[in-house]
Amino acid sequence: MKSSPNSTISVSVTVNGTNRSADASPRTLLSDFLRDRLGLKGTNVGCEHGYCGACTVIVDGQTVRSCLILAPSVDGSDITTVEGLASNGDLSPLQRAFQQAHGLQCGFCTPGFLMTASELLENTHGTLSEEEIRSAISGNICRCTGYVHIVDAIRAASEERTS
Amino acid sequence: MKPPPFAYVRPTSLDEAAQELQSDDGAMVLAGGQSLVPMLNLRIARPTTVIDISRIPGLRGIETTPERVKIGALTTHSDIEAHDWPNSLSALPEGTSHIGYPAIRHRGTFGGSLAHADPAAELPSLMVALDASIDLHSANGLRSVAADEFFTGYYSTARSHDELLTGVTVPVSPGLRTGFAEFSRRTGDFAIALAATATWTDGGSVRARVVVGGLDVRPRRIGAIEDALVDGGNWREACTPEVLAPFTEPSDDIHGTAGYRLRLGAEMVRRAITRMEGGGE
Amino acid sequence: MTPNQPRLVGARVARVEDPRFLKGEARYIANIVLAEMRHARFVRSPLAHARITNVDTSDVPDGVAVFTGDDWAEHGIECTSRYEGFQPATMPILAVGKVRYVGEPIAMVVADDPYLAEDAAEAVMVDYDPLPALTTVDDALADDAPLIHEHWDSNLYVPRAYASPDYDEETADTLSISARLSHSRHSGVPMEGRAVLAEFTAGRFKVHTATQIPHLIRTAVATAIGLPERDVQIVSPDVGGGFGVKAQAYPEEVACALAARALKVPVKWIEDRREHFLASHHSREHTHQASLHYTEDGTVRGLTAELYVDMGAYSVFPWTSTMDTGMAMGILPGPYRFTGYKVDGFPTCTNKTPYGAYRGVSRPAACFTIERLVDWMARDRGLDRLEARRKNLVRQEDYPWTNAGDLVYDGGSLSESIDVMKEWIGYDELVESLRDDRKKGKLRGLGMAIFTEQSAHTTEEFKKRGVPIVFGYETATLRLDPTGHLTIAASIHSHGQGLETTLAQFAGETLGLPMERVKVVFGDTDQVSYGAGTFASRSAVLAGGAARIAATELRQKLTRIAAYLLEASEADLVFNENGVEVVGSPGLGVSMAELCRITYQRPDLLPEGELPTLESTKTYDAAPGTGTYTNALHMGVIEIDAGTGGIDLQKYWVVEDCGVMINPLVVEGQIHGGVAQGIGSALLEEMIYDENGQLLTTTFMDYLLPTAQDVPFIATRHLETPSPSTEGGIKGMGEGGAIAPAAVVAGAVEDALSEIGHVYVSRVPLTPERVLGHIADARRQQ
Repeated sequence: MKSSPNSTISVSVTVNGTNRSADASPRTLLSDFLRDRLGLKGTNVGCEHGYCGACTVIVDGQTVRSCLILAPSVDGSDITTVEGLASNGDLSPLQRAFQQAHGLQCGFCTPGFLMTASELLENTHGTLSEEEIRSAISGNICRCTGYVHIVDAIRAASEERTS
Repeated sequence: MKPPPFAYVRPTSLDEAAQELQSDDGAMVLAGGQSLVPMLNLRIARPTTVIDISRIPGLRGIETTPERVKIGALTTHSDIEAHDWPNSLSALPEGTSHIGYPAIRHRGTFGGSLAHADPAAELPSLMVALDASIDLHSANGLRSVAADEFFTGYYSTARSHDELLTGVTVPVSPGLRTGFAEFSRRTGDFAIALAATATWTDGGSVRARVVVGGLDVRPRRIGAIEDALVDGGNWREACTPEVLAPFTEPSDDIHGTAGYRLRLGAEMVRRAITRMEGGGE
Repeated sequence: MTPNQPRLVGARVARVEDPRFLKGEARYIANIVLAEMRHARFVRSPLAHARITNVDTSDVPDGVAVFTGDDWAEHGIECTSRYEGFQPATMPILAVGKVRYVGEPIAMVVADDPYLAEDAAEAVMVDYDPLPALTTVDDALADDAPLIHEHWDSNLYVPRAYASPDYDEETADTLSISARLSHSRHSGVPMEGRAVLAEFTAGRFKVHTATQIPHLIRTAVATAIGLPERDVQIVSPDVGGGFGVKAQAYPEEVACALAARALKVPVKWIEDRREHFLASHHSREHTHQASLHYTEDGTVRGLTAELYVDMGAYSVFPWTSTMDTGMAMGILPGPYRFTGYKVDGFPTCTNKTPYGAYRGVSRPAACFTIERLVDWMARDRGLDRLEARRKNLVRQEDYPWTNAGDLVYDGGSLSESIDVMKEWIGYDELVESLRDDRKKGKLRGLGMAIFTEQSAHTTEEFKKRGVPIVFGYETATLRLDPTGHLTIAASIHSHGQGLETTLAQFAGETLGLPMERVKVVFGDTDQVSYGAGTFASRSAVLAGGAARIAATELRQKLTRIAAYLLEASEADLVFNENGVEVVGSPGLGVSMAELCRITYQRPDLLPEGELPTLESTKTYDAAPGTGTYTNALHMGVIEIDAGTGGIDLQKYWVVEDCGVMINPLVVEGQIHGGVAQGIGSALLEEMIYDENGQLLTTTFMDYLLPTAQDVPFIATRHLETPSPSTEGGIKGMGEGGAIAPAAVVAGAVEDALSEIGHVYVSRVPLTPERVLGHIADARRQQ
């Protein structure tokens, strides 16, 4: 059934473990759907053409650029955003590692890095090497930190889970 | 940079998708969206309808028999990376790993990349190198087009408006070897030049394909170097801009002049063949 | 749960502001939702230079508001230099009659959501009569060039010139080397673009804007609209990076305010990335024609230079378009002792996006010029590059030293940094091993650059720069509440620099307060007294200084009250995390909470004449006003891939001295970030215009930012030469990292090719294609 340009489509997703539903137009980007329709402002928008990684979220277990997804196409999906990392207001081990290592400055790119780092930690074991980390985060741009402390943070988080 | 308005439909079968395409001249197909959605956001693409084929069953997966590999159009780039490929086809996951970043590869599809036909993309050149054939489905039936004929120009292919690219068939044989090399300014960027190579050795005879991308509006085969590989001649000596020039038509842009692309293309061919022959670089 | 950390100056305290950013709860303007808020979109000029002949808004859908240049023609942003001969031109809010750069705003639509706003903007039809586009300094300064501002005499904002009295004498009978050196046009490109959310209620504007300079924006907006500043409130909340790009006043800020007043609803504008490249101010584009004069033994005697800076179409507020040129003129001599100097500066108007501040502000180009010249001199004289530098550096015994450009260096560790670096990296062995690598055919090389960073300069310096507003101080208001918690309201803006933590470390310490009891606020001009903002590596020094002075006044008052209450001698009292205690009498003391409660709520218990207030506002204009100087030495090793021209930056070391460090973690972060941006300058970043003034680099596909694979591990070592004049001996250092990398990489490329031939790298970025060109040059010499 075709939805006309001016129509609204009901999009239902599970976000951070909760079922959520809201209307979108056919052209509503997932980044805007999360931020404006679902009120989850933590995902930042840096470029809207898929290059900077600030808008990275996890859909059905994989990191994606939410600015490159039309909301209706992920109807029924399971989504994790940065708001899903802390529990009961307490920073997760990964978030704490970022704070301890000074892995953020202005914070705008940080949610995207956290999601990318979460996936990296999920898919690997043991302490990660500098090369592995830099390769995994090469699609996330940070303009403030020069990456050194971000690498330190992710390495520390990978060490912590081993011990 | 928000998309312009369009209608949206998400068919659940190939036939439904084909009908939608046929009935709307301005419709565009959405698979993973990693090529189309940036174009929508930049308002370079202004479809009347977006046909979201991501939920059509049977289009995702890699099926291997002794003679060929069939890759479904909705197979993602990370599916390709994760698959256990034989050494003979190592160029395919190698080239795929250069596409953007993991987040892009999780959504971007094999078929989508081929249908988009970006002159600097890895997969079109790889398909030409592998002598693949591309399957097209329309309301009028099915047909296959050889990769050699499929990529016709700047973001254009032999696919007509009402056809859907459903998959690709890559012939395999015991004597197949492949190689790949690319240069981009940063990891994951579009290549300034790339090369995909393949040789088939069957008893005494050799076939070769040497393909460059980024040196023209579509992938180009460098016949002179293919001949050198087939004849057992000095292919290294042939990896020069002068040899590549007659087979290509590179243009100047902000990422490189035509002259630079030719030099780079020659170097990528040299590296791809070196890797194909088991050398490191 | 706050981190349990010591609160001393010098401690690596984890930042207190981090949790909200980590949890996705930051208050960037895009995240602010106001009732009835509508969304703006600007229609921007597609031409670099043209007369506007017609603006047709008839196709804009009903319900969408439209504003054009005529609506707001009497408003504008002006910034006129006090330099003799400066040609002024007001930046319009929406272009009237003429457009002068691609991206200049011409009209504004306001719709219910950003998607509809973008649709509506496309419906505005504008007709133009194109004029010749002046896209280079040469074109703009040519005799027959059309005038971009038609009431001017030429396209030069103002000619600048300076010569030292001993120039002729010093440069007589010297050898010299000359070159034309250039930096590309590029800019800070923060991850958050610009953003504005304006409201107008009960005769007052409240403009949320992502800015580094809240009070100066208030001045600009109030002036442009024609209101007392009292009736304008600027709120800059969390800001996703600035680097100088957000340190200018922009027409969009005024436009959103005027639209909010006209429409009686809040108006929000979020800049998209394409707009950002077109309309957020550019920077860095310098071409220097320079000659170094030296003697046979490698002693530098003098420098001659002509500086051409492509300032784009309008003078920017608050710097004027003279800033980069003037600063480059002062710092071009670098950290060297020579005195002969003649320099001419040409800040030029062109049909490009206006040019503003970006980390380092002219010093990356200036450092590049002097360090390249010194490298070439060393090569010519057969000297080791480090020793050639050392020979000419300002020495300890010279301080305070007035450089050839009339800047007063107040202290540093230049020669010492060379010693530390050499030992740290094993310089002699490294040089040998690179030479061996090159003999084996590898193209590996080492580059270096040494420089000073003027920081926390105030009244005396800005007077000299001819700016209409002299940024002579920053302001801090400290307020203790009845529960003994301290708020520091500072006129700076922290958008990555960690000032919520470092100011608390620096000033809270004076009152013995643990970090949890100190809160730093900034950004809201209703809450904070007038100051300039965050730029020029000054916030920690000036806001820290002001806060410390205010804290000291509060401490003195609390001392009097506590002494009275405890019946102790003032000299015996100490401030610590327990409150105020009597030395040598454990248990005899009063908590800060109790002390504050009494002051406010038990005035009957206070000593005679003591007012029941605990508030102090101070400003700080750090002596001597011409700045306190940080110094650093950077080195890097690269390897070139001869087949592609690609450069692999393998190692990078920084020895730097920023005086007393408040928080070494923050200092390192600033160095790393600056170096990464410098690497972008050296290898990747370039805003490319075509001959028609079209900007070709408007997305991240075309404008390349360094990723985690382009920036290596950056090793840092700190020296500590306290500032002789600032509170606490601290110096500013936020910009420094960005100053040297281009010079370092250029020197490394020359070193890498030195086995093949001698090349002169005088232009950045070093794209792979340009590197292949250098390799070809080197090979031709064989």
